[in-house]
Amino acid sequence: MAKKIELSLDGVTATAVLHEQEAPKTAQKVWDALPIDETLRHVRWSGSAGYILAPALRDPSFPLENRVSYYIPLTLNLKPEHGEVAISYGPAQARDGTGNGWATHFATLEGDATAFLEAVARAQHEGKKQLVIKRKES
Amino acid sequence: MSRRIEVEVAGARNTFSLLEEWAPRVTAILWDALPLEDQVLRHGKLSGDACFLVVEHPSFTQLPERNELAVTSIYKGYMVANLHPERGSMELLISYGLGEYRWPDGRRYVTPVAEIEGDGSALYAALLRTWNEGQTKITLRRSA
Amino acid sequence: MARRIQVEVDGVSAIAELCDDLSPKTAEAFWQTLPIETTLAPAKWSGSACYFRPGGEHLKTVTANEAPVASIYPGYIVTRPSGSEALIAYGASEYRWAVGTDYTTRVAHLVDRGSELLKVLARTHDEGDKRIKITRAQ
Repeated sequence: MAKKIELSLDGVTATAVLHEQEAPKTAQKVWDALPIDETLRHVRWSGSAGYILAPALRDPSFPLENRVSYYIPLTLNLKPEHGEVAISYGPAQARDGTGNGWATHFATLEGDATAFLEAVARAQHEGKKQLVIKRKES
Repeated sequence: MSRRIEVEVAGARNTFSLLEEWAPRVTAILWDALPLEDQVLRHGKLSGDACFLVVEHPSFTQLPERNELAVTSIYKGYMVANLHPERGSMELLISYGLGEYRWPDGRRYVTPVAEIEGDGSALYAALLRTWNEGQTKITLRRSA
Repeated sequence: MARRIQVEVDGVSAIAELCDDLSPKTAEAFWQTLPIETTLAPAKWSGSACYFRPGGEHLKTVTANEAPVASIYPGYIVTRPSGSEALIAYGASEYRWAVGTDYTTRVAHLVDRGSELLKVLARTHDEGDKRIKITRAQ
């Protein structure tokens, strides 16, 4: 059974399934790092997404798996060189000041995550929020 | 207050203030390398209204590998730098009009390092002349 | 001497000079639009910048860029053709959309590169929207 994680933001909770087949090393790295409790801010280069910087996930030498450049809505994506996890709620791409980049798509929100994604989106206009990610016990 | 440098091209002289808030490491390294006298200044081929010089200095091996503030547009009256620490060199460009740093394969990023002060008309005219008349000489020195 | 405007956010003011030489039509249209008081929001594609909607009718008549630039240097205010939005950069910034980099027109720039106003703008990354007020300087 696929491992799942629970994300809490602004009083809203959502569940995501880890992609252990497509991104085994990253899924394990994230699982081992939980719980994560970090500040979520809106991205400034990448479009419709919020992000956290998680020191436990930062490893410039960690390989990319299940590589993506565009962040599909509902997905969680890791840039290991920064320990940056981006959660997309709309059109988004892994970008920085000098152009387009890549990330590992390691998890996807399941079920009705509308309220959760709206909370992520609100970070643009309301400011930073606290994101807690923990293991979802089956 | 930012440190200032003097730029002289074919008798036209202007003071530029170093953009130390935007590029502290690059401007510090550039400052330490001055004066850079009688360097060859040519008109760019791909970057619009801009002239360039390539300078080498032992201290340029300490230049950062990444731009401290990355831009492609070269605003009129600004000096930007393309960094080559691996070669101990720096390409400096000054725009007298509309400029964007480009190579044959597209736009590339540079670091803004200095901004002109006062009326740059004579300097801009000197830079523009290289388009028709060919290369000239440029001197960069610390401003008194 | 260039015309001057006053930009105020969160009680912090700074003087900016209009780019009358570079962008005469846009600068004039912006001048005629003043005073502006509206919401200032953090950008999500263009980096360390905030955007606002100038409003009014004057900027709608300027339908082409003047001296177009993609990079927005810190302290510069830019507008897109027809003036539907304006941005002010507080750090590394490039005018971008979902589809990539675009060009814009410089309208004004802060006289003091080290202005405290830039720090206030930077706070939008944590604090979200603020109010911006732009008036003709005496």
